[in-house]
Amino acid sequence: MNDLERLREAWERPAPPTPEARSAARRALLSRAAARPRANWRLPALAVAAVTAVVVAGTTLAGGSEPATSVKPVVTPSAHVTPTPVPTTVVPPRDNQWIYTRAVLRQFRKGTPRGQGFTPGSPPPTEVFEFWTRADGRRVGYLVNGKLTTSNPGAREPDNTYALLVALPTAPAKLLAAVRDYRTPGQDPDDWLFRKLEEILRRNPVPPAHEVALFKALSLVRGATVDRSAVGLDGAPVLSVSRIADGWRRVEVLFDPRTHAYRGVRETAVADHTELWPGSGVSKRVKRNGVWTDAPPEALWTVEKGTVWFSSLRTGLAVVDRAGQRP
Amino acid sequence: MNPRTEAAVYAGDAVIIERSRREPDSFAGIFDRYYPEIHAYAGRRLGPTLADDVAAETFLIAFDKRRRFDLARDDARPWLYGIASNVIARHRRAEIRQYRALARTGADERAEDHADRVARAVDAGARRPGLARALAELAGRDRDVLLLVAWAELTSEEAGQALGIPAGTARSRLHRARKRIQAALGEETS
Repeated sequence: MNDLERLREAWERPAPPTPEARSAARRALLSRAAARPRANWRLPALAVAAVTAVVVAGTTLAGGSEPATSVKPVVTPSAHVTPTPVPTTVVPPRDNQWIYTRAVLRQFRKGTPRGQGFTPGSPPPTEVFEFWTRADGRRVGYLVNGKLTTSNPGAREPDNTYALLVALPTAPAKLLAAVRDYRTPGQDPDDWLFRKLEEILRRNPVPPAHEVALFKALSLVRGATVDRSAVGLDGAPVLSVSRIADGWRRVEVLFDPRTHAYRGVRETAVADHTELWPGSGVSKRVKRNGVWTDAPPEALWTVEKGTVWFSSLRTGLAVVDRAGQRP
Repeated sequence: MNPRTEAAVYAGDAVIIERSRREPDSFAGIFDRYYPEIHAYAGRRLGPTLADDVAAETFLIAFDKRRRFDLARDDARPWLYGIASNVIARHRRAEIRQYRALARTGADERAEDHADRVARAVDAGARRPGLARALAELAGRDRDVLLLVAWAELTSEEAGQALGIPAGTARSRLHRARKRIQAALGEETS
């Protein structure tokens, strides 16, 4: 083995990019390709709209003074699901403020061994996840090994730019059409739309009128069904809007049945599934016998029908002054 | 894949980039083909978090510069790696810091899933402190060529193309860097 091969071996090829990172990068690229000049000149006006359009009552959630550098690790592998009440009214953020969200996530982890099988009795583990979004969409923040990391989300869209969110119409069909405008080609339009509407809800202190409109818009997406007697992640009754994605999992967006406030999201396998890497729409190039070629997909793990494969129960929502700051 | 198919794949890069000059969306074809590879390269040099940013930015810059891509070239990889190298260079201090940390402890503080892979990588991992020290001590321009060859698996000519330097210069930088690496490996095994 020569020195170059030893150098290659000593730094094993890193884990593949997360689907979230890949899709954020792809979205940023396609947004650049779509070159939406309107975002540049509309934003200042929309920012003003953000301040004036939201009628606010109730608790101000901004607060705290912990500097970003003193953030402590919060990822707890077996965090117990005990949601704290999430107020339904919030003060809208200023452009330079950050929206903080905290959720209990159930999801597979980096390093999940290949070949692992997830079943209803042994679903992926839970962990607490905190996320910061700068209200003007310039940066998002999250913890990596307990350290705050921020990055540029690329495109400014209603899920990461508050002014664009509050500028959305509150008539459900019009809202649906407005959000659809942000879609970039190459993605299943209904899957994308459903996920995007959920993301807008998950990341933001959504004004009540918009929250109801987003609920109704979700139910208008092709293939969506509404269940008024569903049970939520914390055992409480919820309103569930769901649709089947990729043919094997039901994605449910969960709301408070009385106020329509967003509660979380749950993905349950409706058929047995084997996760492949590289999967659909993803290619990985490898060199074999001196020739670059697409790597054949390999099975990563299996999911049994009925398994809650992913869920996110929101347990905190606030406006803060800095990334890394908690309310 | 036979050589004919291979040629068609490589021709595809230029065709896609040429098309993207008229139809910008089609540049996604280049992204889909090479994003995992560029991400992996950035991840080895800077860790997974910065890799997300570097890989994303590489494709944004590539898109902006697509008119400068030489359509006579068969393969977009050297061009993309060149852009990635420039983006990585902005994080040089983070890169060096990481090599120095590895040199001190041998532990990879970037990867939380590292433990799962230790068993497979025990032998290779044992050499890392010495190699990390050598990488930290290399001049940035020598390290760029070395790692494009070792980790991105470019030829020295392609590494030269990527970095915009003559092939002879790339070869001599590679030669110089390899001497240091060989010396580090000699120290590890002696």
